Amino acid sequence: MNFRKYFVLAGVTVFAVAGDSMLSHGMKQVGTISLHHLQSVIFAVANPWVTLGILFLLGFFATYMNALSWADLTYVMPATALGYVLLAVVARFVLHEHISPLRWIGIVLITAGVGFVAGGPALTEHPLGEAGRITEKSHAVAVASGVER
Amino acid sequence: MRSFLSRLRRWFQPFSLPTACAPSAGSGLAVGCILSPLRGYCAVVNASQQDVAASSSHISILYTWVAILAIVFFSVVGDVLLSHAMKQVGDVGDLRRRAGLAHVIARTLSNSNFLLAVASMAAAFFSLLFALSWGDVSLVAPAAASLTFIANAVAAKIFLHERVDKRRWIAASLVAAGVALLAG
Repeated sequence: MNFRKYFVLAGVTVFAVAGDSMLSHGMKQVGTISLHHLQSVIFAVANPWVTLGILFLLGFFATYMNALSWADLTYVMPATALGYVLLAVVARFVLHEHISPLRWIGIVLITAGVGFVAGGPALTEHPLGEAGRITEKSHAVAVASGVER
Repeated sequence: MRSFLSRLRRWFQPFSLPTACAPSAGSGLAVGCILSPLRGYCAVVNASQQDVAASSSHISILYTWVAILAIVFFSVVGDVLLSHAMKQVGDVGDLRRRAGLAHVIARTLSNSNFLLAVASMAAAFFSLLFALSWGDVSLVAPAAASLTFIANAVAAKIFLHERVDKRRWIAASLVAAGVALLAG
């Protein structure tokens, strides 16, 4: 794990939160769209917040794919959950919303979960290569021979 | 037959969704960017639709849970396929340095697992729309997100042969519980 990889994981979190918040804000400005006036969806895209939100969500998807190219799914997943924590922190300290004790417990649990995963290896090494299927036994061999990082 | 037709009609009425749908743990968001005009439906908050939903409460509870399971299923399939596709593509950072960004994009877009993953995420997004048209956001979003975390860990172990050790099981459970508390 080098600096670039932590940077990508942070990007996953920040892009997801920023994109979703902007899209949500933009759609509230656009207002109601009914099935009978579907063409008004096109005008929704013209709203600058919606456009920015879409761009940020594309950024999210790109960073998410980047992260998955070098890390396990079970390693990247908790990073996406940090978005909930970020959202709550922004709500508390920027928007000055009240956060209930139950939600604070939720924030602590997610943070603890992310901490648990971040301490371990990012990628399961498959000693037999792309086609290799790892088993507990071959993993033990891999650890013993120092393949596992 | 008539009840079926009226149910069908209800399906195709504008969905009554508040925009503040909590981020559904990645995959829903990802497709959100592709199908984001559909989020236009999220802005539709129509009192009369909510009355319709309230009048058949147990059917909507059943439908909501079926739709939640569909969200979880399609998100997990999408995430597993995407993870597999990106492992086939290889480390994007190294590849870009060696062969250039255009090569990375071409290699990713021509990967059939990637295309299937996007299709599955689209299906998850549509399931989310259906779930939200029957159920409340405060149930659907946390239930789908936290179940997806657990199911992803199981699927990653079975299909991707990731070594999901005690550390990762604890993490997945903590995150799932935390998401349920936070979004609930």
